[in-house]
Amino acid sequence: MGGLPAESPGLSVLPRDREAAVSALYVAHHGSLVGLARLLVDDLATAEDVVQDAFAALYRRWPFLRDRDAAYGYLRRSVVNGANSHLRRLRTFRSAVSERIATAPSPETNVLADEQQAALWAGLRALPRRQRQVLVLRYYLELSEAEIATTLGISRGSVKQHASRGLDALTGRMEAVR
Amino acid sequence: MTGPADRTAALLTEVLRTQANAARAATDTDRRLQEFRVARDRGRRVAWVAGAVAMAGLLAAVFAVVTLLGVGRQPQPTSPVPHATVSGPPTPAGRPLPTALQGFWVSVRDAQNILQLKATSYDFGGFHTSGQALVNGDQLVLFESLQCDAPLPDGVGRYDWRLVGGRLSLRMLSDPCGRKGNLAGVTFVRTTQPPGWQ
Repeated sequence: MGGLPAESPGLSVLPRDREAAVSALYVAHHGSLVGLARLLVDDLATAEDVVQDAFAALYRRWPFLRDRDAAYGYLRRSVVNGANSHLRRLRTFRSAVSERIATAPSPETNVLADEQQAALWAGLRALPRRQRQVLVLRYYLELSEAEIATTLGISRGSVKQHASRGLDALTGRMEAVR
Repeated sequence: MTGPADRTAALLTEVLRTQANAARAATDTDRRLQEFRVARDRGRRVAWVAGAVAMAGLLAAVFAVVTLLGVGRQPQPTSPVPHATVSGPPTPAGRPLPTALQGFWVSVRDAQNILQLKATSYDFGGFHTSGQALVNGDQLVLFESLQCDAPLPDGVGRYDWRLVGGRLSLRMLSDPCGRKGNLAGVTFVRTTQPPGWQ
């Protein structure tokens, strides 16, 4: 099972105590969220840091959470936003070396079975940030347009547009590989 | 019959799962949890010390005022004692939102831009609280946003609010957070509770 379910899996009841609750969420979701973050940023270490920050924010704001059953939703959104912030901070740097970053194979590329998959992954990494986010949320988390719009804070129309453009770009790339 | 885009989408799903699973396998949850706990405990100690210092300062200020006013003739405390329950910066001044402001609002220009205002919180997402809200006179004060990683004393947004003829108009006075994209200069009208919102 690769994708993440929309709501918190495996934890039907959270402990009432903040320390215990956040620790339980950590054990249950850290790996999945690192997987999600890894699809949105360029390396595993950054993905781990983004997830760590998300848990730190959750812990800090725990007393303010009215609906603690939605904690997984907070974490997921926090990871997406954290990855977004990270990429925004790097934008200036990346604009200077984007060619090299976008085309350099990642250490994980060798887990991909064939040339097409590797090309698709490289293509995804080269997409504009928003298109990449929308495709990850759509095809990995399997969120609806409305859920993606809410998570990213954009309109449903923009979600459609980014998804369509991103998928078209990837399809073009795949056809070039064939 | 599937087209090229469908085939790309199917392959993309497969690639995303493969990559995410590789990252899951590569990360060391136990080690990162230990690091998280160490950082958390350090943060708690810092918060405790900051709270103690703040309380000591407050007690000193109260003592100085009482002394200056000549009210305090009781024995003077030799040293203020920090109290562990006080920590963190103060909440912005304000009162719970009036009932006229509470409820669901939709932007007159963007039907997707729905804002829920509650007595002491606000929400854009429909499934949780986005942050805390208070009213201070003509100002709507928003803070502790979950989307804006700026805990108090930072991350406070201030909007001039006006409710005329059932239309809520917000004018931004200051806001360091991204929610201003949904709020600044926006006029809202009342709407019903959208499906899935609490």
